[in-house]
Order: sequence, then C-alpha cells, then structure tokens
Amino acid sequence: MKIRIKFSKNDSVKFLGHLDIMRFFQRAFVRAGVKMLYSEGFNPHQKMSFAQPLGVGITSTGEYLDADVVDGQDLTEIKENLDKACQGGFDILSVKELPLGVPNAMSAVKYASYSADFNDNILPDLNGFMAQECILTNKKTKSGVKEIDIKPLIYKCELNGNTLHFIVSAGSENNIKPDLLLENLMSFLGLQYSRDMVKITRRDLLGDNFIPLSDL
Amino acid sequence: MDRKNALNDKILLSVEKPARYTGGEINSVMKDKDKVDIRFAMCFPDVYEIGMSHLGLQIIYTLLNNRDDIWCERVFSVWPDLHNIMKADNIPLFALESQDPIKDFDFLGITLQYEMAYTNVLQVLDLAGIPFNASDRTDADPIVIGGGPCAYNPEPLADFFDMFYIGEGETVYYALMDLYKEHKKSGGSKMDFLIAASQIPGIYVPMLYEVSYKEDGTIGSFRPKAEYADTVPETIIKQVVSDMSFEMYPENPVVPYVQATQDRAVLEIQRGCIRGCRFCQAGYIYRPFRTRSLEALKKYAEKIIANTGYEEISLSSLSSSDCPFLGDLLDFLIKEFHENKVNVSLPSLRIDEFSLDIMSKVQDVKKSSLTFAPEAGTQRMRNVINKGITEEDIMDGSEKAFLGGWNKVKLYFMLGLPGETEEDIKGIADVAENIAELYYDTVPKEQRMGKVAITISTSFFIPKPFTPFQWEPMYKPEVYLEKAALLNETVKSKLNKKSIKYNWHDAKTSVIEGLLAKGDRRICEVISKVYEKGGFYDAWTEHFDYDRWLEACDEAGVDMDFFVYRRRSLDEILPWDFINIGVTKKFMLKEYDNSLKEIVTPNCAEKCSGCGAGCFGGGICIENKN
Ligand code: SF4
Repeated sequence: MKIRIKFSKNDSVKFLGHLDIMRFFQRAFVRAGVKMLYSEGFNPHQKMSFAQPLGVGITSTGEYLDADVVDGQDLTEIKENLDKACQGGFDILSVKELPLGVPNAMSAVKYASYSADFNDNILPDLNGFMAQECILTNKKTKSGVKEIDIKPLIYKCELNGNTLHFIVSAGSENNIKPDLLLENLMSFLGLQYSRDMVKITRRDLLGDNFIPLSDL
Repeated sequence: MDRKNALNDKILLSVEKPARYTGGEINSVMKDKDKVDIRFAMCFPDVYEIGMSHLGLQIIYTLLNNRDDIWCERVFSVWPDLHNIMKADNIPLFALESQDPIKDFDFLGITLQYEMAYTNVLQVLDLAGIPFNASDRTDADPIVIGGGPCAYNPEPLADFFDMFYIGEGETVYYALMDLYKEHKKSGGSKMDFLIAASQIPGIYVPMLYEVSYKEDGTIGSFRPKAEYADTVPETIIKQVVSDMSFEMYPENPVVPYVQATQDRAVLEIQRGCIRGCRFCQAGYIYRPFRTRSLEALKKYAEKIIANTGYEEISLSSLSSSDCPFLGDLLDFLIKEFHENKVNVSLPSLRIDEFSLDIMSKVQDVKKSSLTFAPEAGTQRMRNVINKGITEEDIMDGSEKAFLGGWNKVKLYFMLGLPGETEEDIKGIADVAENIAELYYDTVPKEQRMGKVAITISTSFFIPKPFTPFQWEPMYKPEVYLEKAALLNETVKSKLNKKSIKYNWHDAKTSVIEGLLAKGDRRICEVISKVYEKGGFYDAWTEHFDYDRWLEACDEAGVDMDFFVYRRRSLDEILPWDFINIGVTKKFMLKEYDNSLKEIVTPNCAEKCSGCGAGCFGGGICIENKN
C-alpha cells in the first residue's frame, strides 16, 4: 500500500539538507521496523518520495512523504514507531493510506504556507507592498536569471505582530522560495535582507483548493 | 532535551554543511553534566565526515558512556570556513553533544590515525584555547591524551600531549578514569595525577622523560628524568585485549546526519594480521591475530542494523580471507538482511573461487572491480617485502573472475621499496599487461563487455616504526617521480596500453609523512611552526604546502637528510625503542635480514616464528600451540 506521512522538521534538525533528510527517513523506517517495498535490481532502494524539498535553516510543521510499504501493517503502529525512531528531530504528525489513483505528494503540491518571525519590529504596514501593480523579481531558473512578476503567485501576505504569514505558489511549476518574497519585501521597505533576521517556518503544503496534502 | 547551539544561526547558515557542528544525531548520548564525575571529549582531528567513519571512535564512545559517571562527547576539526569565523569572533571549540567549550572538560582524547593530521591536532588545541605545550598548561586545562596507531611513535607530538596511551582502548581506560576520580576527590595537582597515571600499564607521560642526543644527532639516551627514576617505568608495554570474544561492541553507533565518508555499519571481525608484510605497521603493532566469535558477530550485526537502519554493513579487518568462519558469517548476513535489503560489503579479499562466489552474491559484477594488492611487480621484490601473493594467484583469480563476468581490475603497488631495481618497477607494467592479455585470451569476443579496464595505483614506500624496514631511508621526491615516470613509460609501451590506466601518489606528501612517522621530539617544533604559518588539514592535498614544511624544518634546524633520507644504523637508539609492542627488536632485525636475503617468513597460521607477541597470552599464538 501507499502511505502518506506528514511530519514536522524541528529546530534541532533545521540545518539538514534535503539529501540528508531522505537518507534519514530511509534509515528511520528500518529502525522503526516498518516493512518497506523495494525497487528491483542490484541496488534495491525504498520507494519513497518527498513532496517538496525545504531549504536549509527552515523549520516546518507540514512536510510530506509518500512511501510504498507492505500491505496489512497497522498505521497507528507505524506512526508511533516511526516517531520514536526519529528521536525528536522530526515529529510524525499523521500516517494515512493513500487511495489508489491519488496523485503523489510531489505532483499534488500547489501552494505552500509560511510564517516568518522577525527578531525586531521592523515591518510597517504591508498595504503598500501588496498594492503594487506588479512585483518584479529576479528568479534563478535552469536557464539563468529571469525577471518575473511574483504578485500573481502570492495568495496571502499578512502581518500579525512581528510575524508575517504568507501563502505562495509551490510545486514543480512556479515554486516561490520564501527568501525570494522576503528579500523583495525588504528591498521595497529599503532594508537589507539577511537570513538571520528572521525565523522561517513552513506551516503546510497545500494542494488544489488550498487543502493540506494530508487531507486530499 | 533542549539543546542550544554553540554557534548562532547566522554563522551556521554561512558555513558549508552546518549539520557537522550541531550534534543531536541518532544514538548520540546526552547526559546531565551535573550528574557525571568525568567529562571526556573524544576527538578525531579531521573533518566530521572522516572522523565519523572511524570505528575506534565509536568503540571508545560506547565504552566510556557505558559508565554513568562519565559523559563522553565528540569533537572534530572544524572546516577552514568555520575556523576563520571562530578565530575572528573568539568562539571556543565545543563538543557536539553539550555544545560546551572543550576547555571545560576533564579530558581531551585525540585519536592519531595518520601523521598528516598532526597539524590538525594543533588546530584543535588552538581553537579550544588550550596551550600547545603540555608544560604550559595549568590544572584547569583538560588533560590531553593521545592514542591510535601513530601513538606508537608519539615523540614528534611529545610536547603537545599530557599523556599517550599505547594499546587498545578497551583495556585500561576504566582504570585511568577511576584513578582520575580518586585524584579529583582528594584534590591533588595535575602533576600528581600524571605521575600516578604513568604507572598504569600502557600510559606514557612524555613530560616525565628526557632525551639526550649525541654529537651526530642520534639519540644518546632516553630515560625517565632523574627525579622520577624510581617511580615511572623505563619502557611502556602495549596493552591488548587478549580475548576478543568477550569484548563489548558499539551496537548503537552514532548515525551521522551528514553523509559520512564510510556511510555504513561496520562489523570488526578480527584484529591483527597473520601475514607479516614487512612494510606494514598495522601488521606488527596489532599482533597477535585475534578473532571475535561468530555467534557474537551475528548478534552485533542484527543489533547494529536494528539500531541504525543502515542499508549496508561492511566487514572490517586487515585481511578478511584469514577469518576462519568468513563463509558462515556471510551466509548468515546475506540471509538475515535479505528482507531489509541490507548490502554486505567486503574489504579486499584474496581473490579465489570462494571469494568470487561470495562477491557475485553481494555485488553487481558489471559495476564492481577486482582488487589485488601485490604491492611489488616481481616475485623477487614480493619476497623482499614478504607479500605472500604470487603472479599465479593473481592470474588464477583474474581468469575465474573474467569468466564470471568481471572486467575491471584494480592493482595496488608501492614504488621505492628497499632494494628496488628498474626491473622491479617495469615488472608492475608486466603484471598489468599479462592480466590484459589473459582477459582477451579467456573471454571470447562475443561475450566481452567492452575492453578490460585495469587501473594501476602506486604509492611511495614510507618506512614506518615497528616494521622490519624501520631503518630504511626514503628517496627524495624527484627520485620517486622518476620511478613513476619510468613505470608510466613502460605502461605506455605495452600492447594493451589503452586498457591500462596508471595513477601515482604525491611524492612530497610522502616524504613529510616519513618525517612525521620516524621523527623524534625535535619534530614538535616543525609541526608548531607549520601551524603558525597557517598550515592545517595537511592530509588534504589542496591544503598541503610542501614549501611551508621545508621552511619550518629550516627554522627549527631539522634536517630532512638526517631524519628521512638517512639509513639508520642498526645499533642506534630509535625514538620509539622505549615502547614494547610484544614483537621484539630482535625479531625485526631477523626479518630485516630475511628481507635482504629475499627469504619469505611463514604466516602465523602456517607456523609461529616466535616474534614475541605470544607474551600477551592470547589469539593465534596460543591457539597454535593447542
Ligand atoms: S608469536 Fe608467533 S603466532 Fe604470535 S604473532 Fe608472533 S609469529 Fe605470529
């Protein structure tokens, strides 16, 4: 069966890169005693895929991975054992069986919601920022740097105290990294952006109609 | 437990692989520092990924943490990017688990696995804020203790260490810790402790000894300083585990987040080696040959995989083919791990029918290569070095492997061996050429998977302490390169030159390694001068600067001709003579003589040659007698 696992990436592991996390889960499944399905061939590997890589230094309360496991295993047991095997770095938030025909996490992702906590009270009213006709940004793509308008890719951008909440486009097309938005916002405000002025958390990954991947 | 990083996010986000420095890995051990009596920082003086690949570190980590009164943590060399930040911002070096400064610890243990890491030892001390010279430290500084294979000639590092431990970690660490606890309770000075510790077998406290030199620069005397003559031992006896079958094993090794260089579970099946290759230090210092028990190994393997989730387990030993139960163990592992798809990997085996059969079970024949380490190109030279592999063995093994589908062969040789002639060098190319011809003779055209691919790698021979070649000189780098050039030309002249690739090592690093391996206390100054000039990570080609070493030698008045390029006389006092590894100097001399006469000495399984290691009362020396 295919299962979808929702997990958090906690502060203590926020400096792990995507490959490190993949390797980590591959081993966590074995430690947890989850019976996995493997690919054929001389170097069999577990069949698992992550929804969307997360940048180094960013924590999350809504990461996803899909895995193929041997039928008939108890989902609550998998959740508990996997959670234990993660020793606190990641919390396993839910484990659900994926019905046949549901697209995998990677292709289901459409949006990502983030929060950014600023150390200081440096953000004034954001109305001006979102009121711009277009928000032109240099975005790195495979074919070099391109200027694009990211305004239509921002679905929400609200300030609550020192915390900025935003939902942006994510997935294989039009993926907006949080840094890209924040950098742009800072320069609009005439400030120099640096990663240590803000604590970024990915809140969740969302599919069509802004539904969290765990509820699709 | 909430762990606060020693480095702030700004720094961590600016350096390469920040997870090298944040700890918290699976199976790392957290304790309450107020509830332990001893805090021990275990250091591998190289980058995290290398240090975390080392089994010995995991053994000591487990051993010490098994006790409730000790908290052993880990520390590694920081990469140059972070080094510069820590220097600029005055951030002290910290241990991974607690993230506390090393300076607050009771002990800093440094494992010395290769000579080119010596400058990193100084980097660790420097960043930790511990004075380089043991004699400049106060009672508040941690006690710096060195161990590992390079501690068998500790003299080039003598100034920097409070003590060295000569032997296997399992044996005396608890006694040393108990002594320290007692000493801490009674409030004695560090010096009192060092003197008391020097009486624990295997512990060497360099500060308590003095060396005098003759006019020609050789050692005149080496002995305890007069005031300690009655208390500290004149010779230090290596300590070994006599029965490996009852030893603990790190069943819960720390699993790094960052990919380690050896990113797999390690099963140490045996220690020591029966072979006695005359260039190989490990073959002598780890005598006698001892195996763990098959039953225990099966149990360890299951537990390690369950506790780590590794997808590969590798058997570790100096020569796996000599393991009496290798076939049974492999059968077990392959069956046991079938479901979880754990790969079993084998370090270089002697290639024969048996090993090929196993290899074809555990690896992809098309992708993997055969490895032979004949070390020398002619039978004459192989007799000189006591390498018991014949060209026939290689040809037989290759033929079977070619029929089994392999077509890649890796060959390891040394250049600059004692008494080497041009014929011996050219012989290396002949071995490769013969293998290539054999391939085309053995495998019919229609079955060939492309060309045969043979890779020759040569390293330059470096004489090491505690080998029968310890008296041998090295060649100058340019001579080594001439030898490599001759071999390269010879390879190029062969019919199958297109199937043979040739790589050689850097000759300049080799001679510096030779200096550090066979040096004495006068080398300490060279190492500290190199570090002062900005040199560390010398084990990394891109950071090694030969001229910096030569300059430092010059300034310290150390003559490479004397230490490296000179044949030492058989009756001079060698810097490491005060250490007794069980194997006697008399035996070394006999082996040296045998090498000159090109006489092969049988291995320990065939016949005991009475090397002296029988004094430890364990392993093959005893089994042979029964
Ligand atoms: S005493 Fe004999 S059996 Fe033991 S290590 Fe020496 S040569 Fe080998």
